Amino acid sequence: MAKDGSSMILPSLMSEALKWAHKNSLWPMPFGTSCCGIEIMSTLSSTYDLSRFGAEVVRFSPRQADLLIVGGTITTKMAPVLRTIYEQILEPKWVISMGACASSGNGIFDTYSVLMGIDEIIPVDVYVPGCPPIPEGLIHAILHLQKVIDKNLERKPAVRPTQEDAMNAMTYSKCAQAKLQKSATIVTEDGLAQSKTTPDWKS
Amino acid sequence: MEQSEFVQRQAIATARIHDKYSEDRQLIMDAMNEPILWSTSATDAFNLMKQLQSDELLNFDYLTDITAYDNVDGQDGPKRFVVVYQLFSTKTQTRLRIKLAIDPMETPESLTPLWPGANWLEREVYDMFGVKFKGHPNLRRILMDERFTGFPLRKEYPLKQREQFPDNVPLHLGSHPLAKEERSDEKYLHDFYNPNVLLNIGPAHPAMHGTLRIMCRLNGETIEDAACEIGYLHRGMEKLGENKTYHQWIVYTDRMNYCSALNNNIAYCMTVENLMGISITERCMWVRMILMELSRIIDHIICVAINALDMGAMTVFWLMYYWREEAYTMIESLCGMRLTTTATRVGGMAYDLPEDFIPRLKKFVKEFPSCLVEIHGLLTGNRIWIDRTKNVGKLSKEDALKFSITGPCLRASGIDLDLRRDRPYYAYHQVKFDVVVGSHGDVFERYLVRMEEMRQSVRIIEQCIQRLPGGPIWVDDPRVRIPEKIDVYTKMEVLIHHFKIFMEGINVPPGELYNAVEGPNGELGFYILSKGGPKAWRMRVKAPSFMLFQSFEHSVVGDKIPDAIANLGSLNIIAGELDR
Amino acid sequence: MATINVSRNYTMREKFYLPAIFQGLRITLKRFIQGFVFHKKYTIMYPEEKREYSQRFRGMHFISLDENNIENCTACLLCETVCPSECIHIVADERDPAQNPYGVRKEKRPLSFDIDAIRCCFCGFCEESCPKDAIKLSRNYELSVLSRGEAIYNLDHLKRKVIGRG
Repeated sequence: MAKDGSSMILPSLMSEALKWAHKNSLWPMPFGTSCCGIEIMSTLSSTYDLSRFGAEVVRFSPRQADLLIVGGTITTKMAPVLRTIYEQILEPKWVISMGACASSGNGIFDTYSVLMGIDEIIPVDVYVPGCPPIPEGLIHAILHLQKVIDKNLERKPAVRPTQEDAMNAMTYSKCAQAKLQKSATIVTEDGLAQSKTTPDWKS
Repeated sequence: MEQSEFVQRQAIATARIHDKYSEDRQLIMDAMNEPILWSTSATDAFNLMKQLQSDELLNFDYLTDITAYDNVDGQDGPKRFVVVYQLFSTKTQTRLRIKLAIDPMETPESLTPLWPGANWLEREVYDMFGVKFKGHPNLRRILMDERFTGFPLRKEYPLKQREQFPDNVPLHLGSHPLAKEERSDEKYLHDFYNPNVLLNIGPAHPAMHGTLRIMCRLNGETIEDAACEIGYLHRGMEKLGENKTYHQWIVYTDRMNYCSALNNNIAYCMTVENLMGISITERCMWVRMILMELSRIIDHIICVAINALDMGAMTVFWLMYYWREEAYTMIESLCGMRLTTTATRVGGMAYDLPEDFIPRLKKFVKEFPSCLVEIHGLLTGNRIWIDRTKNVGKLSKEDALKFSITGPCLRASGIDLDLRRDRPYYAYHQVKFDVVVGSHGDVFERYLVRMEEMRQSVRIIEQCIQRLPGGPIWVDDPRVRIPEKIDVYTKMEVLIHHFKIFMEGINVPPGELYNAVEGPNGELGFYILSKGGPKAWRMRVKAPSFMLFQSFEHSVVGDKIPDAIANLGSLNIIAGELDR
Repeated sequence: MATINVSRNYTMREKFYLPAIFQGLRITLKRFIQGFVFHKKYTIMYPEEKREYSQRFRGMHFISLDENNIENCTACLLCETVCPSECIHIVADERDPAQNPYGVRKEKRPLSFDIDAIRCCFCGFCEESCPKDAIKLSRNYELSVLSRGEAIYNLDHLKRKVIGRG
């Protein structure tokens, strides 16, 4: 270290260096299905440039990306496709669930064909409420994710379904053994869904 | 054309239908004085439509929509379902609705021999209601998963009852599921010399058009056969229309064509207002026209930019998106959100124009044509662009009519049909603009049509700004008027009225209506059947992308794979509208 | 109202594609000079430079307070009825009449007021329908959370002081 505080050599731990490298070069894969897809495109355009944060390379192939931004409604027909894409991304990987539809199925689309939140099938690191969240909201989420990466290199998302959980979540029909503790609607014995007034994931 | 002129033509056509076709069929009028003809049996409906198609004077050569509704309360006869056919005449620009009452076990004749575009429409009726059509080449589910049991739009099906499956829908090519020997996981030596390779351009699509799936059979690199699979974004908006009030359903209209959300809001509110017989104020009408043309500009910007991006011309995307952000700033100052606006209400608008809107709009209108000049300089004279887009994805005039497509793609194929000029609504007959057509229907002409339409929209906006009157933005009708907040805080009757509007909803009288608007993508129509009360009995959305994607199966045959991507980009398929 | 036919054929100038290439290069060079020499920028440098949105912007919810820091909400349940996402859950309660300086005007109060922001579609209907000007949407768009439980706004969070939003 020179006298005035500037340094030519920065001593640091290997893990710190890895965290710095990971968080400043996240290559996103935009999985935009509906309206949030348009806001992802706006974020990538020149007014709110996402490439300022190291995401210059937007890869549409899961093999070449490490951040999956899921934006838009995921229906029950699309759920197996999302799970396959998630499994094709190589570790280390992070998931941002953008918008109300991806995070919780969106209260307005609580119907017979919409998956109530992607965290039933894939683990999510950051949720962004909004319908759609404006591009600055998405950039704030990516900065939040950078702080998460800083704290721990191993990903510990709040809800982490295993392969078996995901297959269970993706296979049920009109039956009572659906493990839907994570959303505000439950499927009862006679196949009808009712809203609960107090959601029970308030942890 | 003057507004009264097409009303006269409609009246003449109704009189002719009454004379010729209504001896044993019942002819009634709907809420906007358009004719509804009840046919007596399944074969009768087919013969009737065949006669109407070949009739020289009436000439109903265009099929707009096929849908159905549930007659579980028995008001429309003893049978369970009513299938509704919506016809249109391109020569006289008149409409006709034909209804057919059937039981669940009966099978009406399929209309695919007369109009190939009826293929997917009938599949959707089968998917949602369980009505089978005799003679249909490929009757299987279209919007839901194939293995789904139950018919969602029947009244007894609960809204939130889900069924899920652990893997993707099995591959189909046309009418047949793929035979065992053709599965790609078994490899034989002769596969390398096989001229028929199957390629699945899957639902997670890098070409950024959303959740579309195309299965192609290739010979070398040329596509010989294509089948499209949709429904990966089906969210059940039509069933939600039966469970939410008219006011709450405005939220869903934004999410259909999310590139031009204002247009959808306005079209829906126009339909409900026509059903109730409300005519909005002058100022509201001109403001809505400005917003419709602005949303047309931003939708065309997305289409051209993404189309160019798919083919590698990234500069166009960066340059055009700046103008989209300028428009978004204006829209955000109007209603608070950039994309999902919910800016209109039944009878008026949520907010009036803010003070800085018109100066910003004038600046936009002055500077935007320079963008068009720039893009023309980059693309239109460029031989690379012309070679990639000329004679690609050709759709001839006859095919365009038979597949019932609408909008810029129809006009690029050579048919001169624009609802703003032919069946004018609001004040479109008082502004001067030109209708843009092409001749060959290939990708190059669709691009040129869209660029010229943007220039015409700028012209319309300039005229609307000059003629914008002052005055109130809400109509003075106590059935729908949401009162001002100042009055709600101070006056008692206004408070009670406020409570009733939001708690009970708008009371729409019984009746039905089909109202269509020339959206940026084509004819966006709403068919609302109301039996009184705050919620609709049947809310049907006629989305233009649905028929466009069906014609894609036909127009892509004979092209190569990169041409197919260029073709898909030029159609502007928006998955939210396609699947609803 | 005329009809314009935009169909066009190849011209000789387009067949030699070099003039069009040079025209395209000229356009991009003009943009490059604008950015590099004249420093014309279009990017908004978030998070250092935050742009101001209009008064009508629909961001994070809050409940407005009066001069005594009591919420303006009287638990009339209009917002819960009109919300299309079913994301507002209110339990109403009576205000203690002995300690109520407002009398009839604020007889009821919300015992619990939960907004599930992850389910909310930010349509603004609750703000539009509130007869007491209580629930409003602020200009805060930084909403990202790490778990679904953190995005449930209860009454304490909603009663925060918000400046700059009429």
